[in-house]
Amino acid sequence: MAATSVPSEEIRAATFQRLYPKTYLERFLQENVRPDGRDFLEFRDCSINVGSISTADGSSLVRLGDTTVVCGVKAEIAEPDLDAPEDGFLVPNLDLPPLCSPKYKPGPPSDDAQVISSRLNEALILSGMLPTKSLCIQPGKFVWVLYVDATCINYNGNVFDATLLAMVAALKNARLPKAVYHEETNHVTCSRKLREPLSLSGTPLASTFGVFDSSHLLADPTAFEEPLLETTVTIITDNGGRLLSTSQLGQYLPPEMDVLSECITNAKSRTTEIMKHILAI
Amino acid sequence: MVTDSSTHVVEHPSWDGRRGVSIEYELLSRVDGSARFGFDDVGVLASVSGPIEVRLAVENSTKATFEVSVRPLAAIPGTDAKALAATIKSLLTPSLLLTRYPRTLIQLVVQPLSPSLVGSPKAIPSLHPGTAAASINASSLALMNASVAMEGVVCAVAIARTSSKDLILNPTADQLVSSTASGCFAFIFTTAELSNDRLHASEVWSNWQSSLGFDVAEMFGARELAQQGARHVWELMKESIGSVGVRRSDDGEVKAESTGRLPGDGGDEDKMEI
Repeated sequence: MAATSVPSEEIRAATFQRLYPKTYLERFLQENVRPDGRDFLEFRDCSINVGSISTADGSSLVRLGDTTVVCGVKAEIAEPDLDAPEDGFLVPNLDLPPLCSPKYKPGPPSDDAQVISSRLNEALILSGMLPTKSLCIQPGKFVWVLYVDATCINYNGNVFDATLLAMVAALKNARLPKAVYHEETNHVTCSRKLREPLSLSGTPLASTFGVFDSSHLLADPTAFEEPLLETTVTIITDNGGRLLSTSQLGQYLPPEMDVLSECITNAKSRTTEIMKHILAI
Repeated sequence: MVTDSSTHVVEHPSWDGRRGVSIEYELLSRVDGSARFGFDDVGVLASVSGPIEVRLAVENSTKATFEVSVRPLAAIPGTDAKALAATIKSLLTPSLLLTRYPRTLIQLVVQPLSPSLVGSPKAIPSLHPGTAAASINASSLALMNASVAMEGVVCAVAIARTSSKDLILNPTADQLVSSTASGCFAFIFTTAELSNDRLHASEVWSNWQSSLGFDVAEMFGARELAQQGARHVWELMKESIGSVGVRRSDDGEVKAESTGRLPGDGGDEDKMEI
């Protein structure tokens, strides 16, 4: 035998995973378990940490399993739109730098980042979490602009759920300086000491699922499972347990597989769990 | 080859008597297939080029690369146009037989012809369900017009729930603004058995949202209604295909004319140029 060491079990498994990802996942699913040991409908543990960025008006760090997202809220004052003089602006954005995963290259924002940013914007508007009228300082003249910037620092799938959670937590943590409008000078002054929280109502929570091979429903897919799932379901609920949005996209499923009901039940029970932690912020 | 726009306009009063569907084949001369689809005031033009040469970075050795871009009527495409393009790509890909055209590109460009809900701060432009539905329908027609091999035809409709809890198909812009819930549903229609013409519908995109919350039963009800609506759209599409290339002369007489390229319901690969 040549003087090469026999590859260890781990290396052989990792090679198999790289070369035949679909078969690798199938083998696990046949044993009723997923590659990371979870049940099919089990979400990863999530941890929320707020207020760690002192230079931001609000911040949070969320870990959903290995997927880690940092989010910061910065406020600026601007002139409102002519056709919406009492409305401020909420500008959410997600950045997926090459730091988080080898699939993102340096350069302008990737398609993934743009699509997720757009969906996050929709989710925040839909939930009515921060009515833009509450950001008004002086109608027609001065309004707050809130930049909610999230950066993924480790990508292991399901970054949409993690980011929405991070943005919600950061907004809850945000404290804006008290702004006073002076009519005589047409100026706004912000207090250096007095900071007040945002007037928030309704906090959205996203739960994402995927369907593998038209037969298995998997919750909270990892970066390995994501490209193998041909259908994705996202359910957005709010703190009252209400359904705000359901979305099913992708390869058509056999009619006996009505995944939406199962996903909705699962999402609702998850909401009660997670909301306890969000409301405590 | 017809060089000027030979259009056949199909105008139908809608099933609820309020909104009409219009289908036109623009026969744009520089692309392989094009079509315009409208739900009354919401019109979308789609064009397909393919299979054409693909750039090395996105080349796939076993199947065609399918790219979708959405160009809004005003301003440069932003993140919402990107999101709509990504959605359209995900829901059309299951219907295309991309493995027939390895190492090529099939490029779909979608151009809404009416402005999205602007001016209202609570407007979510990308998810204006009417535009999304019309975009999907126009894309399906353009793909058929370009004779891309397809497994089935994707048809979509938008639905809104009024404050009095009624579900309406293809809401107008005003109805959408005052609606309490809205969504878009897309279904792929395939003939399950070739012997009889039984039509089989499966959903490829269902999306329902409300800022006031909704219950599951309502969403399923909307989906049911959408399936019927989508079926109606499919029938209108089928009817329109037979009349591509028919030119109306000035006195209104109909003259049949060969376009040299007939759109098929998919599977016309011997007429395909690679």
